[in-house]
Amino acid sequence: MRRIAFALLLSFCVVIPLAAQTGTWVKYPGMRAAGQVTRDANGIAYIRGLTDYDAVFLNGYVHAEDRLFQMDENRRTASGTLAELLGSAALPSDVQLRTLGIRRGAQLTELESSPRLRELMSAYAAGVNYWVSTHSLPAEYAAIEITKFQPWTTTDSFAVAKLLAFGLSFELDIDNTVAYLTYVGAGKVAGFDGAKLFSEDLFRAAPFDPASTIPDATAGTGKGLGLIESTDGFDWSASTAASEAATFDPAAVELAKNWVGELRTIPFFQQVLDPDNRGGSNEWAFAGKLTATGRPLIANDPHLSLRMPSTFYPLSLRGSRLNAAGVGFPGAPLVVQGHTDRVAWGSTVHPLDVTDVYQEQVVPDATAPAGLSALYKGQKVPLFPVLQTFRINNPGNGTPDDLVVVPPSASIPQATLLIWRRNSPIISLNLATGAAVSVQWVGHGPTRELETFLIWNEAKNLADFKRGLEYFDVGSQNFVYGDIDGNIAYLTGGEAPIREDLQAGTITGAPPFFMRNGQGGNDWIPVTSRPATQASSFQILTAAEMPHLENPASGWFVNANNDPVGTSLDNNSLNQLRPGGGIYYLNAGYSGFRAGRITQMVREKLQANEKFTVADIKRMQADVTLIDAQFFVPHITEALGNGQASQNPALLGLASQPAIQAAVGRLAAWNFTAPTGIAEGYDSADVNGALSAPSQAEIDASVAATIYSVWRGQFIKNTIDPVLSAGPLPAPGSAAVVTALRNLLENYDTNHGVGASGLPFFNVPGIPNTAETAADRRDILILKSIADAMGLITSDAFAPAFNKSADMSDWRWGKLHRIVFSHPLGGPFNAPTAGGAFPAPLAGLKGIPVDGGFEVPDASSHNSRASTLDGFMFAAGPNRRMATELTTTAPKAETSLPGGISGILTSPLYVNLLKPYLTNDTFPIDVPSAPPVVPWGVK
Amino acid sequence: MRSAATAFALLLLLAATPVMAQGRPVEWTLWGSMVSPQGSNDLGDFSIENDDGVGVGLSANFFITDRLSTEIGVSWLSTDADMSFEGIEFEMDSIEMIPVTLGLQYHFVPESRWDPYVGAGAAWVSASDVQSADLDALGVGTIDLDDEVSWFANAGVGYRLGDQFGLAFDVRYLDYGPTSTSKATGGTEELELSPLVASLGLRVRF
Repeated sequence: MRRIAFALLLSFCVVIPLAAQTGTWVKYPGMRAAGQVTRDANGIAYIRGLTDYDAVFLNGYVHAEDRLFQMDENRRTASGTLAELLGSAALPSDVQLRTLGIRRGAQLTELESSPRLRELMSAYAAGVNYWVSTHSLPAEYAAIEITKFQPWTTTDSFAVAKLLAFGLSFELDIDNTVAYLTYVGAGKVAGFDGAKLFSEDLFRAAPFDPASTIPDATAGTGKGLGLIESTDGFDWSASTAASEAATFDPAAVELAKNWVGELRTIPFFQQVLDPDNRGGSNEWAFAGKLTATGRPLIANDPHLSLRMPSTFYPLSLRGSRLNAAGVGFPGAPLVVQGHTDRVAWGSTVHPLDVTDVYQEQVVPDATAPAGLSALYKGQKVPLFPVLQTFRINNPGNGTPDDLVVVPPSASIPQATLLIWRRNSPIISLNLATGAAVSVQWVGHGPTRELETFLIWNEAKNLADFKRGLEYFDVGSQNFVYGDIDGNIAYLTGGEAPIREDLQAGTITGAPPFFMRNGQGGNDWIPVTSRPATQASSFQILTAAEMPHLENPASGWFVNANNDPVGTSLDNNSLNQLRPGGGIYYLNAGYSGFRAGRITQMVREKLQANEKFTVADIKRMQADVTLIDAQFFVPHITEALGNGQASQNPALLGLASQPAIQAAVGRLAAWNFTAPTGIAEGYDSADVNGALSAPSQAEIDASVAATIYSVWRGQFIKNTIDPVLSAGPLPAPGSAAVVTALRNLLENYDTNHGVGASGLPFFNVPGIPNTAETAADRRDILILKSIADAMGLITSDAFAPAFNKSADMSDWRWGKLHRIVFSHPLGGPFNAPTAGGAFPAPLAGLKGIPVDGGFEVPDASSHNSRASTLDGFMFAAGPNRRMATELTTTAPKAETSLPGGISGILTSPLYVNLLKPYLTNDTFPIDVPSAPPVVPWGVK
Repeated sequence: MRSAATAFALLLLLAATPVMAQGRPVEWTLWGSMVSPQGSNDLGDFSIENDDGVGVGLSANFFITDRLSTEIGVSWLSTDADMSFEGIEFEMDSIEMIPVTLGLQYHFVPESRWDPYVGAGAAWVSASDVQSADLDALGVGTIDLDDEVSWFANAGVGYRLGDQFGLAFDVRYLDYGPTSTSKATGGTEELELSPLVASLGLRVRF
């Protein structure tokens, strides 16, 4: 704390330079011609360069000026040298990220990059280093006793880009494997079907809502791509995986499980690995025929962790060819989401399965470079060592820049071991037994996403955009596209590997969403003749096979990380075939909550024969309707009605309680929205960050949101979770468990609360599990969960929010649904309090009260099982909200930013855009006017 | 093509002049020059500024009558140029011109020690490529300046030091506004480089 205070003091003493902000044309050393930075009223840099080199040089310059520490953190995270900045606490992160090889992949990527991209990366690095050479380091460095900035390199930018692609596409099959094996094992002992417990009951592939991006796919399966439903159906849970359970090496699974456990202690991986925490996003588009102006509209709000400073950096960039405005990432040049003077685009994560985990057997081999080989089909395949040296900074000892080498130990490896055959690392190894686990990810090799953005930053039309997409190799994105020619399009990017077994129409070992044996038969198929547009050395789905839609007849589409073509809607993502043969596989399953609600809003307006406007887009982006409440609340009100007429004393007793009646009455009258309901809360009804007192309707909705959101967690606690905890068996995640509950309730009349596995999930002590008692048990658990929720709300634990008040009108949602925008250094760098610039709005409660809730379109989700005072807080959400109209002359874009332009705590730009963001307001962002054409340039 | 035809006509005239001047004196002059490009080059937001330069030349003056002569000359003129934009300068390096001139001169005081004269005529101007690191950085690369046929006007005075030798001072304006083309981009600009050339010469009379 003392160090941070010192840093703050220092930062006040340091003149924060705003050199290149006045619009003066400059030619700094290292620039080729000249460039200009003009800041708009929000502090957004509008960069113009006589050449692209100069524009990108200034891109690096302003990134350094505003976000140097964040850039440093990003490159060091990617490179596994974060401990050299933050100290020993970051060592576990360094060990894992060096093992996974983000920087190794970045180096390969740089080698295969085009000369033009490499030249612009050099310009960016030169701009960063020029700023550093002419200014004092920001206050964060003083806090960690660093006085020397390691010069920025081109590889650093490639590494930052690779890290982002990693965060958006990497996933592991280990949790699935552990859950599946545990279920199967327990099922054999306890007499239930463990495979079906996984696939039919708890880890369902079918989403909560069937909304698909290609509208025709909502009702069908893969129809949008001309995929063929397998005639025999491929029931993996029955046919192969059950037998595979016996072939898993328990030692390898245990290694993998422990490794994932280690990863989960590292903040970076908590976001990457857990489906409930990882990035999501919304996007949709309307063709001109559906809009009030007759021009296309596109919308996008990408969801990532909400932190200080914000993940994105808004920027407007123009050179001799470059021509883009939108957002980029500190540490890498260019605009990654935004628009040019003719086209606009956004993106959401497309959960494509581009990672496989393999169990390996490692044996001593004196002839191998590492003295070890992996067995593959009975043959020894040498492992290659990549030597590592780890260093740590020692902040707090008063000695600046004292990096110390950390000697190898049990937790600090001397080398990373690589299996060249798959370009993949051994991520865990038991030398005593030889059991090992490796992981293969598309991004381990050279990939070219930055080439994509370079092309898009100059794009004039759909053909340009599709040409750029060919280079988008890893990062798994759905893209929304619109242009001033009137086109809209949905396109997906990322190379989807083709596995040997799936291509043969079967599964060898376990399905690809489980760990696989490393003995061949289910490897990614090597490519024999690599097309020029392909980076990967293995076969991939063709562009024609990737989900896509251009100018749909319906005139609209929606994507919110949902199933793009409906392959999982029948709860089996492996029963579609590729047009030319082989199983068509994208991913095991998808989220359907937000897409469901957005699709619902679109259909409502279409049914009313109303045209869409930019205001509609903003309204939809601000929507905080709990789609799961739409499903569950009718069950709650029905339970109360049933209870009041019930002969069952327990049920009647619950239904007769006035408090329960009042609570259910509030839910019955509720419109399922989740405003804060407090004057200190930030709601979309407020304007430009200026707060107003909540209306009575908002207060009522707010109270209902509190009751329902706490009920949700209690209902899970009273149904599925106790069945699993008795095992104990692994529990499904936050979203999966809600989907599982919906499935159980939807089929309750036939299954009576018993899963396909045979396990009963609606158990009430003292009442036998019979079909006759099923309805009573369901209703008792529903109403008991209401009672339990009210008990929690009025408990001591929730007293800081509700003061144990029995008056339901005090139960305002904003007291629970809060956010802290966290900074890696914490303390005053967090918002609140942002060094005093954003005081904490609620005494005794952390964070900022904001409207929203579980899986609403205006993403602000908390864990569905939340049951503590701070459990309803959220940490991820829209990192921008973009609405763009493609007018006949240019894209007209509005956006927002969760935070401020600058990462410097004492800057007036540190949180300058946060309040308007919190109230869902936007600001325009344009492409700069063209820079003067250099004489003899092409006009 | 027009340029080539004009140049051909000029060459014919050059060849014919000695014949026309047969039997009359011929004055050869070796010139040293100061060059001052005239005119401005505002190319949008950019402007080109030419520095004063130097040059050398050789001319032959064939007297057709006592008062009228034909001057044939060739010279090498060099100036440095900078391009500026918003106060930022980009070096263009030197622009080298080689004008070949053919003109008529009227001599006011025939056969006297002092020989004031005026003249005018045609010129064919060739210029070297322009290249510099700054032009490369701007993406312009090497600039090709078109050859051009144009005109010149001059005035001067000669001073005889004896029967054979003399000195001369000459000031002439040479019109030269070539089309310039970037070899990298193909982009073109019309330039105004017309030099005002002040020369001092050593004259030999045969």
